[in-house]
Amino acid sequence: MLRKSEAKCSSMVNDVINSSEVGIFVLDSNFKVVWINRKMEVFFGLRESEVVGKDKRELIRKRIKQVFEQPEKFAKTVFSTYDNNTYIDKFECHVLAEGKRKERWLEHSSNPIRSGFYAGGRVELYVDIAERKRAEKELRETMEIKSEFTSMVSHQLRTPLTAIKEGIGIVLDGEAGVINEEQKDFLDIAKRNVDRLARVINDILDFQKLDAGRAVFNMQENDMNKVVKQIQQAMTPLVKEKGLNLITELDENLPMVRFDEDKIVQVLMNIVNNAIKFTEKGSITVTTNKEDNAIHVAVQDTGVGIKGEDMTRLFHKFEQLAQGKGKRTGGTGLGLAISKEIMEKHRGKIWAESELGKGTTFHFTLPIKEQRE
Amino acid sequence: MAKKILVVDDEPDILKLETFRLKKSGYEVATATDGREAFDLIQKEKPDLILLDLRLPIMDGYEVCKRLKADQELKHIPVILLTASTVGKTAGTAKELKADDYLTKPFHLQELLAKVKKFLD
Repeated sequence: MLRKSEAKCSSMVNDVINSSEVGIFVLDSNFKVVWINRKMEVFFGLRESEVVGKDKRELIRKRIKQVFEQPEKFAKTVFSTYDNNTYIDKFECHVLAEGKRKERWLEHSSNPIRSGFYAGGRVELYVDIAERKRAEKELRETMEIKSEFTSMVSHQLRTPLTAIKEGIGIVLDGEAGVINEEQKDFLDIAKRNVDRLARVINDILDFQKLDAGRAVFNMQENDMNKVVKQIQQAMTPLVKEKGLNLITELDENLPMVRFDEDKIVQVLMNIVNNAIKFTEKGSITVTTNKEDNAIHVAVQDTGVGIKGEDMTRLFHKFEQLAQGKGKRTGGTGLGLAISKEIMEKHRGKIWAESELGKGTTFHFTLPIKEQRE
Repeated sequence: MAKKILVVDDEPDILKLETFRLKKSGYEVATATDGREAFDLIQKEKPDLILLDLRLPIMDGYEVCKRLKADQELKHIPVILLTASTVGKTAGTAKELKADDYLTKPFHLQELLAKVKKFLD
């Protein structure tokens, strides 16, 4: 009875494995081929009968130049795992089967056989990743088109802006004749709005670049306290104008951390700017703290706070919160989205807490240990 | 004697505005609207400073700058690149092309004048 069901089970397992889309090599503890499935025969142009019992290492050495596009790389990787009793996790290889006529991209992994008759051996798997490679290629091509487009758009937008700015500037400076107060007023309005438009364009192009992963990050060991003091100095006039206090509470023992100074300045400026915008009285406090594996910066204000339902939209693109009487704040709505992108690229975090009517605190952290890309 | 500046840009509006500003500041101004014209003018007139837009027809600004800096007789003439790129990219480009300085559009005329002054006064 038992033998019959064992045979049934074994035959079913056989069928399952042979109909698998994954190529499978089973090796014993001496690297001798125990068995390969049908897909493996197809992938490497092999016959099960030819390879069973043979030493896999010999097979690799013999056939490698005909089968792999980068034979040395493959051999080096695989043999190193054989020698060191380690296993492979997702190694992409370009395979040419059927005498270079049919080429395939396969992803190779291996796993140990821990128990049973072949304990000490390994299972080698090969998965066809044609779809993924196709998608990667499409993505690359799209990115290139996007990049060229952005370049062209950038030029098309910035050039007329330059002309407008210069045209207004010449008249405003009195270089094309004396102008009266009224004329100056209207030209000032025009100039302010050109500057505003320029900022919007910069923000949008900035965001697009960050989004597409094309922004260059200049990572250096930097002192966050220094950055905070810089911001404090820059924002003092604005803060004074509104009758607020800008306080800093900096951790003296804050370690130097790797970050792109310009980009983090951008983030902090954005947060502090928002704090000032939404606070009518009281103070804005910037603190730095060393935590276990990160440095923590917090910007707390005594402003109007953020509604619960708005909290989820905070870091979305083009979202702006109404300031007081439904007045739009004149920004691009991209500041926080850009800040979030920047923090994510730094493997840091950014978030906010708020209490309506009491105030808001924005937090961001940067990891102390350098994260490998 | 007034210093001579060559302004190269394929946009006639930009050319007109920059020329006006520079003349008012006491400089002599010559203009070119494509790379080929620019290079020929530079060889003939040997201006004291060149304001070079990168996107030009016939021969682009990159080519012009490269050739200028490779020419023994012309490489001493200061070149300020004017581009619509971002600061980061432009700084890299300027270094690559061995330009002497750069400005990104849109720029304040004051900035331009300050940079021009730096090289000519």
